[in-house]
Amino acid sequence: MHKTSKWLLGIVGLLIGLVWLFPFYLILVNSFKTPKGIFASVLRFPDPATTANYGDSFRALNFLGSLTNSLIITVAGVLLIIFASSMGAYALQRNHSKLSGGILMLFISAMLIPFQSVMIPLTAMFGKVHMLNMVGLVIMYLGFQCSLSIFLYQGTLNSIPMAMDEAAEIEGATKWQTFFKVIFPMLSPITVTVAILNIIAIWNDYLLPSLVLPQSQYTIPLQMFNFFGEYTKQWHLALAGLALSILPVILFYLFAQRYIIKGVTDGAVK
Amino acid sequence: MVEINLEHIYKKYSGNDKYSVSDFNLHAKDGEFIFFIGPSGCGKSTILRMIAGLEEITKGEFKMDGKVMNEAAPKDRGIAMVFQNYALYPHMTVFDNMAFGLNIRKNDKADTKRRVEEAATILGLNDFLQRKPAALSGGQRQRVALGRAIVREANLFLLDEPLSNLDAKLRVNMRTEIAKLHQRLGTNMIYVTHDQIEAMTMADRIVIMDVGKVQQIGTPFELYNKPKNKFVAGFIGSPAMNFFPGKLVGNQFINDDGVAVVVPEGQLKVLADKGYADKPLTMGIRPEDIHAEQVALDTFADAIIDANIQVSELLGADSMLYSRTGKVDFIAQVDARDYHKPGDNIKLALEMSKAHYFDNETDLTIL
Repeated sequence: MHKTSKWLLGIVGLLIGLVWLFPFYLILVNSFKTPKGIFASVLRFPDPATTANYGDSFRALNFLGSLTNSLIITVAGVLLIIFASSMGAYALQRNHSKLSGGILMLFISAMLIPFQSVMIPLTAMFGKVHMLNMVGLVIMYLGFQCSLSIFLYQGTLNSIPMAMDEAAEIEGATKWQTFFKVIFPMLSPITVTVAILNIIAIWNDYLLPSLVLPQSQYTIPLQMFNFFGEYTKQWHLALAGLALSILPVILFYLFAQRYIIKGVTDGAVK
Repeated sequence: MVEINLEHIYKKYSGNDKYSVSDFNLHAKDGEFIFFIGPSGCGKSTILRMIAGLEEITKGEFKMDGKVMNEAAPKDRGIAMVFQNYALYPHMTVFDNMAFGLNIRKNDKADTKRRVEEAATILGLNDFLQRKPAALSGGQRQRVALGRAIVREANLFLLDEPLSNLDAKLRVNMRTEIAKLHQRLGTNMIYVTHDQIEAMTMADRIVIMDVGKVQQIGTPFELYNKPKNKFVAGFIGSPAMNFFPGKLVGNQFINDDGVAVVVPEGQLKVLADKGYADKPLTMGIRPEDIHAEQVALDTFADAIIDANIQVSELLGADSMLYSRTGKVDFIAQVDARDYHKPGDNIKLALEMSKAHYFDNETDLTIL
């Protein structure tokens, strides 16, 4: 019985896994087909297979340029979010005044405001101060993403005893040293989580950059839209482009996997 | 090495209308090992934290070598502190944990290394310097916390219930180690605990506190033998002192529970001189001063009480008789050979020369 249920569980897991992987299969398989091949059958393996899509897409996307733009925006945004929200959460959590409680509630309630309701006035405001560019976009991300990140950091800080700060203070550390040498390293599991959430959100974002960025600073998702004209959709190039754009995120995940799993299991056993 | 003065120290937390600590006075001499003990919430940790500079002093002066230190930052007080939960930095090795304070102060690298290694030798941590705290046992972590304090070469060590997270056996070992450490370093140490055995075995002097007030300051011997009031008498000693309410009639201490024992002449004279003849008072006697063996019953024939055994515990050399006379419960610590079963009615002798007397209104010791 025990063995059968294990098998059953395995099969169900496998099926769910396949459902998840199916879109990736579609992207990969079709990115090696000619337009004709795609319309002949979406599911079939490419025959004949071509790698030309990748080359064409690479050029059409101005891949190196848009990759650089995506990287700059994502890296700058995520670093800024980690820096600001970890320090903000630390200040709010360690300072037990009513004001801190109020500010924290404000951050949390800000998570409930739908982005679409503020995007037009926001872009108008940034336009007035000539900030409709990468810098403006990074600042907007900082504002939008901080709430969740502060919330996450705050939860972890709750479990770090005050004695840590006090021990460092007695040993002569300033508030900055205490935070960066003692507290921040202890936050690394949640920092990885915060980084992943934000990297995915910013890397994949289409709407906000489309409102803010000039064409010269287009990110990969924006460039991708070039393949979808009013009358033609170049699926073969779009899918090859998608495969290219997913690659950095997957590389990051492989690199960070160790920390993600550590973050999940840390503290489970005392 | 440093002299510490705490003068009329008061502490009130914001939002609290009562003082958590009031009129606390202490003069600690050079190299003294002082213990703060008392029940939970008595203010002992608060005072330690005020000395450390982690809490503000509401009123009063804290002086080190005559200099007022109320406003000095913790780092400028020359103190090292060992926390109850050790507060080791989990991402640093044992070496880095111990070197942290010196590195922050930009101490010479070679000197830091020498000091950490010296402290590690004292504490037997040499083989663990490259490990992280998570890979250490509780006792080893405790040692690292001590090491961190030693490395700093501070003038004053503050220890906040440092052994309370250890198991009983390890606690006894660490107690000896801390006592040795104090002898070796000769540094002033202030140690907060609620474990009176720790205090009695290690302290030069003990400060015993209750509800934010000092009840008595003295050597372990003084606190045990000359308690200032009923609280101290009841707190120091394990099991606690027994109290019998009653009054003096003639040369006897009697009460409604059938206690009628002769008070020694010397005690009687002092009590009468202080006006306690015929006045209600409380007599206190320690469990070890109550005897069950025949020779004691013969010797103290004029101080015998009838007792009913409720519970008895055999502890090896001794046995504890949880007894009752009338409505009063008390404990007798007798020789294991005088073990009695629960339910037995026996006679017990009080060694009245060891008795204490307390005023019923003020709880102060009369004698």
